[in-house]
Amino acid sequence: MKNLIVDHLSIRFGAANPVRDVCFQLDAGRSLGVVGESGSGKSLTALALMGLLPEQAQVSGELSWGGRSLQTMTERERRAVRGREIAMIFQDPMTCLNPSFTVGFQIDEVLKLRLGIRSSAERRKRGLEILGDVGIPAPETRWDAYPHQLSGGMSQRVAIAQALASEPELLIADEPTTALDVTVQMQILELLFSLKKKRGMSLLFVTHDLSVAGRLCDDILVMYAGQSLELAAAGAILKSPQHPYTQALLAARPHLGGGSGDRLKTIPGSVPRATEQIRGCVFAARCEKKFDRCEREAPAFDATSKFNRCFLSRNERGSL
Amino acid sequence: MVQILFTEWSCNLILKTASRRLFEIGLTLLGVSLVAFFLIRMVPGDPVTLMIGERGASPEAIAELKARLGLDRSLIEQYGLFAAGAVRGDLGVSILSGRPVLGEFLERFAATSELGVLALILATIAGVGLGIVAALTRGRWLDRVSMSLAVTLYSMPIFWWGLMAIVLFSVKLAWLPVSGRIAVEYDVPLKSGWLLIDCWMMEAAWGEKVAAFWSALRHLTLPVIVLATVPLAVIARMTRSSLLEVIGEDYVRTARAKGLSPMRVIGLHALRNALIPVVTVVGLMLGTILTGAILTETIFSWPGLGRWLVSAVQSRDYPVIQGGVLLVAVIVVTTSLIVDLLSFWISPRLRDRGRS
Ligand SMILES: Nc1ncnc2c1ncn2[C@@H]1O[C@H](COP(=O)(O)OP(=O)(O)OP(=O)(O)O)[C@@H](O)[C@H]1O
Ligand code: SF4
Ligand SMILES: [Mg+2]
Repeated sequence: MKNLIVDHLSIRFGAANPVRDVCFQLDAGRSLGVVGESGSGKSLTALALMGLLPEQAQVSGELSWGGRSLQTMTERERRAVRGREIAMIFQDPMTCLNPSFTVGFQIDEVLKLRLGIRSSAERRKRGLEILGDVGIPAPETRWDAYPHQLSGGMSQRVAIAQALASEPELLIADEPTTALDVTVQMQILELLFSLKKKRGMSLLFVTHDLSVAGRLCDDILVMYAGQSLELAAAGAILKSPQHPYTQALLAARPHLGGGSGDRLKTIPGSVPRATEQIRGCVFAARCEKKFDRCEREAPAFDATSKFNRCFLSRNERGSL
Repeated sequence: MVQILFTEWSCNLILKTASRRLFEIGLTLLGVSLVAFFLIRMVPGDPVTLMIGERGASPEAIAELKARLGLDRSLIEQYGLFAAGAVRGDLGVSILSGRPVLGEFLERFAATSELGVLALILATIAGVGLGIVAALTRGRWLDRVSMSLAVTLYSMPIFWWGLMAIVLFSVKLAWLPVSGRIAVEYDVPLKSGWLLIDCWMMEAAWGEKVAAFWSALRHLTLPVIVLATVPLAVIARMTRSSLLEVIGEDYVRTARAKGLSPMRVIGLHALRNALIPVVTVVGLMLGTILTGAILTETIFSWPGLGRWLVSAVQSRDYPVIQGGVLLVAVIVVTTSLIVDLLSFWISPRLRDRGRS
């Protein structure tokens, strides 16, 4: 089993810098929830791990998988990892399955080309097993179905099945339930995490919902404006968030049982644009606890331990 | 994929679609027969005067000839006779040659279809290939060159371009023959009507068969290329834009995320979907090919439908015109029906939409 380390990942498109500095570590067999508002660079980070960024993206930083650098790999080596060691499922299952091929075909090709199973009977047997594993009732009847004949929830199960068919060590799930009905969202998430446990794989779970991630994941990474701001155990994040942004996020969270009349406490101001040059802390413009140093200097942190990117947590307020 | 075609419900669907289309086809053919029948009779001059022409003849002789050809009856009566015959499959005989229209048509159609089918195959293969190359090199020079080529080909008047091709390749360079289907020294008995096939079936030594085939192929080269240019350009542009659109789709990203080879991602997952609108365009090009064939046949003295109909119009050979045009319509309509069913068949989504 392999560890994933992302160190100072930055992604640029010309003048835009949507991913400025992302760091985290995901140990084998663990789950990490990546939480952040829309546009914070979660999907780009995930695509960078898959090596699926658009050609014009300029990437810097270090992506290390099981001690090997993903960036220095040849395209061939990269492809051996992609889909086989690291698999990914996407947000909208209705557009992510190929409309011209059957469910069976799309799973079969993974078993044939990625796992190298020669016998087609064997592949069918394995494929049906996997469809059963992801909770599809009567898999034989679905094998020859086309994606448009499935509901959203069923499609996402098929997408999970084809990602898991290659027995990956790490699964990246980029907002896998946002496009689905509320009623099936939780079912899919529970399925995902139970499969993770059963297979002992690592899971990188991208979401904008801090409470869901906190409930399901081992660790949480909070992202903002293309930076990772805080990385901590899920329990710690929910109970005692360290970074002012995480604190604000939690305060803005709707409370269970709270009356509908409750006002959400929103964070004033807006997220800096990807093209903006930021010298100090990325959150400074909206931070209630900001002080003079915050706009001059960027708070530092290190990637391998739990961290939070704020001067306050380091008791550095007085220095300088 | 064959299995898909024969699953019960898709068979039902195909039958249902076919029967609805059959009704439309009936209406179309009725319209075409009316237009073909009346339009040529509105053109000044009639076959009898043109036949007897300058030689002059007594009014009695003219009247007798008209009566023999049925031209003395009222127009309504004439149309009724034509339509009744057509339904039975009898289109009458040519005034000029005295031979049955259907037989002449089939003979001429063989020549035209050999030209048209080869042109369509060439246009499809080269057009799809060019479109793929352009899409994969989008924005780079190869894309620019192939797409400007497509625009150039598309806007070249077929008459001018055919003559230029003859002047360059046949006259100046003497690489290819100027006209006709095969060199005069080969006498190939027609069986299928396609010389490329028939020359293997004639009673002759191997050497002669090969030589006849080669000659037929050389005669086909220029007209096929000239006829294929416009459809080729249209198909290439359609393939390029369709493939570019599909490459941006989520399911293509999924195919990449599965770690499949670029060959498989583009050549199977993307192309399979990109070709759905291309099939429709190829179907539309059938009509373009048939009209283009009339010009091409005139330029290359190709003994096909085009030349047959043009000379029939010149001599006001009514049965040939009305029967020939009707038969051409039958062919266009059937092939477009086949293309429709084909595009249903290659798109699972369309197949289901058509079912409900
Ligand atoms: N190809 C590209 N060229 C330029 N900018 C891009 C490109 N792709 C993404 N971006 C920008 O990067 C930013 C971050 O995008 P990303 O998709 O990673 O956000 P996200 O955190 O996943 O948000 P969401 O919750 O909406 O999915 C976006 O603001 C987007 O405009
Ligand atoms: S570094 Fe300053 S601005 Fe940034 S979060 Fe901490 S206190 Fe707020
Ligand atoms: Mg996203």
